[in-house]
Amino acid sequence: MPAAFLPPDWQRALRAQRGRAVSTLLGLVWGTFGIVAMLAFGTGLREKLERESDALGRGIVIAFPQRTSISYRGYPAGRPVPLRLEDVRALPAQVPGLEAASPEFIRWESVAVGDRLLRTNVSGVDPSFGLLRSMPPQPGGRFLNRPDLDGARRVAFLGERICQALFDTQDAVGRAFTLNGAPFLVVGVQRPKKQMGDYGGLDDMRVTIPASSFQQVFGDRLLEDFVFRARDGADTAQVISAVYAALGPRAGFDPRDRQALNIWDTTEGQKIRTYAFLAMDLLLGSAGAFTLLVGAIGLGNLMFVLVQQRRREIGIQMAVGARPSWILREYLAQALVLVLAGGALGFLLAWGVTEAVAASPLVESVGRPRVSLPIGALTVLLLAGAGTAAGYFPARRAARLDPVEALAS
Amino acid sequence: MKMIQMEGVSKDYQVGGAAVHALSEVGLAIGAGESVALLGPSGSGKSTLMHLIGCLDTPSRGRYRFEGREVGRLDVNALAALRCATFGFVFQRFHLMPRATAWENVAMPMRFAGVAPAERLRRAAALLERVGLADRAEHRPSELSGGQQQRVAIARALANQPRVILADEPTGNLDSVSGAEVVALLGELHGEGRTIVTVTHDEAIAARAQRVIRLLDGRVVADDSG
Ligand SMILES: Nc1ncnc2c1ncn2[C@@H]1O[C@H](COP(=O)(O)OP(=O)(O)OP(=O)(O)O)[C@@H](O)[C@H]1O
Ligand SMILES: [Mg+2]
Repeated sequence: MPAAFLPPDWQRALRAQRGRAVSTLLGLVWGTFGIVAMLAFGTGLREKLERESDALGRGIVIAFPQRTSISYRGYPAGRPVPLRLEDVRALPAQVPGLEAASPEFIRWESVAVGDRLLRTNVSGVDPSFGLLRSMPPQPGGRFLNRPDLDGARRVAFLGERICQALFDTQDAVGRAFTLNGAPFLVVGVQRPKKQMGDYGGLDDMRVTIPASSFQQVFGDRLLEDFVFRARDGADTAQVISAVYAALGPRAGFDPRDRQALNIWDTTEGQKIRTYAFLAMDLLLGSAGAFTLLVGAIGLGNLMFVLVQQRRREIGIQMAVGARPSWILREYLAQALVLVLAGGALGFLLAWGVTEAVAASPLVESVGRPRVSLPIGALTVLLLAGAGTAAGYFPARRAARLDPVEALAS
Repeated sequence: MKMIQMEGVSKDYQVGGAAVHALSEVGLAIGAGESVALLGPSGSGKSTLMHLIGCLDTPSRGRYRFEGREVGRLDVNALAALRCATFGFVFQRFHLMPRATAWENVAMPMRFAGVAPAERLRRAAALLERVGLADRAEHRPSELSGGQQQRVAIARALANQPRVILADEPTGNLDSVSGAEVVALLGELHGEGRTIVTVTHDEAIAARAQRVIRLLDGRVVADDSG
């Protein structure tokens, strides 16, 4: 196999050192496998967590009105913050860094189809809610739109599990159900999603209706919360401050009163995840790199033994005209061939293992491990570095031999 | 000016703090196409002198000019290039690559001269034919007799058409029949116009050379032509 790339007399020399060569190769294979497999699993896990937390909404902020902690315009501290639809709808005009915002009413209500009765979370929202909170419809359906809102239509977007529970099918667009006694029409069913993190229940059990319809059916005035997202490139923390500044005077709280709103900034979780995974990559990567280092030391040792054993042959080569620079290159190249052979085997092994895991039920818990391009590039770089480092000194020693002395050995 | 020109050449070795004078103040000139025997007792410096002539080593003191070029000024890579194109070595202990076949051994120097692989194979085959070993091309040195190994070594020395052949006791490890074959081959090479320098203990072999240089304790003590 890998030795086939070597000149014949090298193959014979390696065969004479079979034990050492095999253990060296194994070290390199194992080191490469370690780096590639561990980083691939890290990538898979990260992608899984990102997908699941994106299911709540990528980079969104959810704000829940609380009580004031600073007295404001004559009101004492401790007053509940009243937040209305208009307050949230006015935000985009006031906060330039805002991409979109949606108000949200929430109630725990009963929904019924025929004599089937269930209780679940019902949200009243604006059309932008669907995009903000990553609620894509299954084919054939849609999320709530502007005419729904403007006409206070009795239409609903269902989570896939509540849909199944009500209708025994996912194909429920056009079907009717009653909410608090009022008839509603299904316009869309959510595509199944795995969600990490929630407030007021998971989306797959949620019934989402226009905020206007919600007010008509339940008579609510005050919002449970609102959801918004900063524009690409805008700083979420600054947008949050601007939201305080815009809402404070309208809702009667001091813009400096951080207690007035309970803020859930999901971008912070993303940052923490990014750092946690960076730390994990560094840890796993350096563990693999260390294994590779041990492999490289083994390779250096093997090269020294080969050079030592081949002193006379190197002397002969020099006598018949081999330049020292040729000898150096030759031995360095052999070290690199060995390293790349070990690396290729380790890479294949890691690839096989990740594919096997990707095809197994383990995917559910650890994600789909993936050998990414940066991992591949990093590994090749590390291997080339290890090979050069391990090969250089023995090769230089070979190149510096005195031909007359080498011939005499 | 002669092809090989040495003036006041000395070679010292440091052995455990003490200096060993392997060669002292050697002056020597050998012209192109000459056939020279280096004769002298063991330890007199014959091999050392041959290594210096062949640019395998450089003098500690003195000047060596080969075809007008000052050898002492050349770096290791330039010396290697000079050896590759100009000198062919034949050693007492044959010094073949043990793991390579006869033809691989013969082809090896051509690689360093940049000869294309197909041409190497062709030339190596022709050279083995010439030394009478065409049927042994795929044999390793361990599968050849001493005389055959030395003939492979001669074929290898000829790989890059060298102008000078340097033979260090080429018959030292051979029986008289094989030795005679090797001496005859070297004679042929001289007949083709190559410069031949043979190191030997053997007065009979020395007698076949045009010129005999006698060494003793690292000094040239006699230099007679014919
Ligand atoms: N590498 C070395 N280190 C130390 N001393 C050396 C070395 N090479 C040669 N000498 C010494 O230099 C002297 C000349 O050695 P050289 O090999 O040239 O002799 P020689 O005439 O070829 O002898 P022989 O007939 O035994 O081959 C000897 O005294 C030897 O011990
Ligand atoms: Mg000698």
